[in-house]
Amino acid sequence: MSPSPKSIRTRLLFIPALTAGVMLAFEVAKQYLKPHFSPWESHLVTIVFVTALAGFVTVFVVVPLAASFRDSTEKLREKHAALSALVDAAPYPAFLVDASFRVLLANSALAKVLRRSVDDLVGTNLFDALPEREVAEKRVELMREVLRTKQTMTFTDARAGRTYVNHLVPALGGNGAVSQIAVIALDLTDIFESERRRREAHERLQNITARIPGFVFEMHVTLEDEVTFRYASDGVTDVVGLSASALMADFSSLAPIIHPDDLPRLRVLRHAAVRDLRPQSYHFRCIVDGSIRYILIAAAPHRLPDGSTVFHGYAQDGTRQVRAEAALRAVMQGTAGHTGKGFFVVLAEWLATALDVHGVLVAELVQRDEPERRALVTLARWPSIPDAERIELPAELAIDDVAALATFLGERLGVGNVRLSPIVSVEGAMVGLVAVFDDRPPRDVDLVGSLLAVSSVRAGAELERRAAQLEIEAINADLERRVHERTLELEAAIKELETFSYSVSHDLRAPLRSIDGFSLALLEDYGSKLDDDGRKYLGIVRGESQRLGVLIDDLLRLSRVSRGPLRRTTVDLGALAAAAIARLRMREPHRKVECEIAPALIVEGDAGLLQVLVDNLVENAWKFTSRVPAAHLAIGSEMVDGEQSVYVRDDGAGFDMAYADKLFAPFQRLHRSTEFEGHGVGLATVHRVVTRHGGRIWAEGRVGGGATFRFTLRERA
Amino acid sequence: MVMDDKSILLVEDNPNDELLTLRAFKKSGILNPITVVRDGVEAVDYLFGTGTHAGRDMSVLPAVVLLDLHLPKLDGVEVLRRIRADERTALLPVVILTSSLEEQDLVASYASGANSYVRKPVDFISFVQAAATLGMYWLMMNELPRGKP
Repeated sequence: MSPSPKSIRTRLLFIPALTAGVMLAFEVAKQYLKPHFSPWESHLVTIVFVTALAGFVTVFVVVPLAASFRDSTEKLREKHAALSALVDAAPYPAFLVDASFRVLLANSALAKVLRRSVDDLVGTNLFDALPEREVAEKRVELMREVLRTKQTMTFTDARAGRTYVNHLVPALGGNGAVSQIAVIALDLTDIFESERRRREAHERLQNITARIPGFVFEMHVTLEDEVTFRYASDGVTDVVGLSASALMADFSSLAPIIHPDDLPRLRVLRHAAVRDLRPQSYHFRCIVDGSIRYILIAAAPHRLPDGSTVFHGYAQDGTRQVRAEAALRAVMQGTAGHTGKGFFVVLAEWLATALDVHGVLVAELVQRDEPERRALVTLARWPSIPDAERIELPAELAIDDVAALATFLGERLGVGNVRLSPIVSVEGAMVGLVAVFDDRPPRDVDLVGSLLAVSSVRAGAELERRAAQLEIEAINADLERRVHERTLELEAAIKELETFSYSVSHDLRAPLRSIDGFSLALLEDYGSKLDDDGRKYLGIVRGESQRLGVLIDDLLRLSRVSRGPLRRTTVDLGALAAAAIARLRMREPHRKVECEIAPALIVEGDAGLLQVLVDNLVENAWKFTSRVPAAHLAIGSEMVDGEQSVYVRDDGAGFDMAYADKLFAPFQRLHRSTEFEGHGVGLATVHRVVTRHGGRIWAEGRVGGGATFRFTLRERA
Repeated sequence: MVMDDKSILLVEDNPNDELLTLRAFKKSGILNPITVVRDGVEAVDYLFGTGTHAGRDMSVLPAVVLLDLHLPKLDGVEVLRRIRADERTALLPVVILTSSLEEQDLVASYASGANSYVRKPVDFISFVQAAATLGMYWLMMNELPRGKP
């Protein structure tokens, strides 16, 4: 290590100082010592003095100088080692050559690339160090250039898939010529790669943003609510008419074009998003070139470490979309609540209004068996026409060719620009079309297209609904016709039955009356000429004819309870039972029958039919207790299985429960007629009355143990 | 109007019933003259002196008409309507005699102005009783309102 310039200067001051010191010593010796000493002695003192002074100088001047020299050699060596270490520490190949391209210094990065050791490389000629002759020659060529021009040179080369940027730096020697060249090869592969990627990403972003219809942006909001656009893609110009750079430079340049009514709302939305950090989707209005635009925004906020908020989002001009939605809403709301023919008329009207076109046609495709008989039948036309028109379609026209169909319609109807959308059935077949006409050039192509598409779907649904309704109406008409036919048949049958009953009532009874009457006349007028048997036989004839009369009457009653309307009123069954018993007592005053009738046995039912019901049940009980010396009858009501039922109980002959199911069938009897009179129509009549009221009747009994009949007059709830 | 002989007009198409009815009256001691006609048209002709009974002395009217409902040509209800429609016979007592118990007949009879309705029972004794009651009531107890013929 060399001494510092300051220490050298200090040391150099010693020399004049020393010289002055020696001269001063001689002068001091001559002036002060010589007078005191002999010349011999004075010489000696002078010698001693000078010697001492020389020693002093040696100590103070020579020793430090020697040390200084030794130090500088040592420091030079250290300096070289440090330089070597420094060069070696570089992560990229670096080396130093002299003017004859001998390697003076090389680092291990170079050694690694050349697959040699550092020691190997130092001292060799660069020409020999480089394995590939061609590369070496090129390198040496460039170095000669550096030697000549004394300028730093840079070149790039590739090795083993890596890209190196080489710097050749000349070092000038004392003679002004280049004595050494330092070479540094920077491996910039990764940097180049990342740069390439960055450029690609940027281009991709540029490509995307240039092709999407809106723009993407990054908006920054500070804690103080200062807003800036950190980024906005170029599409912003198309959307709001401002350049991206202008917007990024000054956010407030956006404010003047925003609809004043929307400004407060936008601020509220922004504050809410900053507070809640929730993605947002909204729209606001801008005034661009004097007309209103609807800007649709979708943005997501994100909090930055410093507490500020950044929004990444997408914006587009949604004017068309908003207008289309408004038009669609108008058409849908306008047609809602209309069905059938009215729906198509309203649809045509609303389409014309929403799209501002000259005409609208909604037509159904009628396709009779053969395809050459296809025609469009108008469902609705705007401006309206009085009658449905029928447009025959030429056989050669392919109806799925929408353009051809539009052209044909335009010519056929004498209208200009025609746009149409087919109405397609659920099965996928074309069943009609919705078309708009306009003599002006096409406008709002997308809006017309989407509205036509939606309208045709809606019209298709309506056609389906109409078809379904027609089918239902046909079914209903058929059903009604059949009901009417059946009703007529039924009425005829009832009429026939009534006529029959009437005939039975009138015509069967007349001969019976004659049989009975003339038998009696015979008995009365000629009885004396008959013996006892003859009179007995005539008595039998009369008895049987009267029995037949009763049977006929009962059959008529049975048929009558089945007919006629059921009129429900409040009926006291107890009163009816009491009246029936009173009649029976009058007819057979000798009978001893004790009757127990519950008070206020009030039910709802047809008074006439209930009279028949009670009469039959009471007469039945009366009849079957005829062999009981002191009979008991009870009529009342009680709850059975959660149902209010009325009972008529007797302690008469009873019946075998095994035959309980036969009790209520007509002409079924459980007793011989010699035991009890009857023909088995009474209980059948009772059953009919109960079932006509929607109720049930059943009986319990045992032979010789009496019988209980129970009935209800309402359907079980 | 001459009421003294108090004749009875029986409108009956069934000869057996006619015979039995006449016998029943006789057995009940009703001996008034009884005129029998056998269908609705003849009944009307008799009462108004038309057709086969043209020229009949119209001053003689029966005290009571026993009218069967089921008659050939013109049924009983129609005969009754014509009787009530003519002022000469409007107040003539008419008793419906029929085998029918049909409510519709009963209603139609009374609606058309029948004074009484008697169902012919199969049991002849009952019939005799009914006829006797009828005869007594209409021939002896019931005073006909006096008025213009």
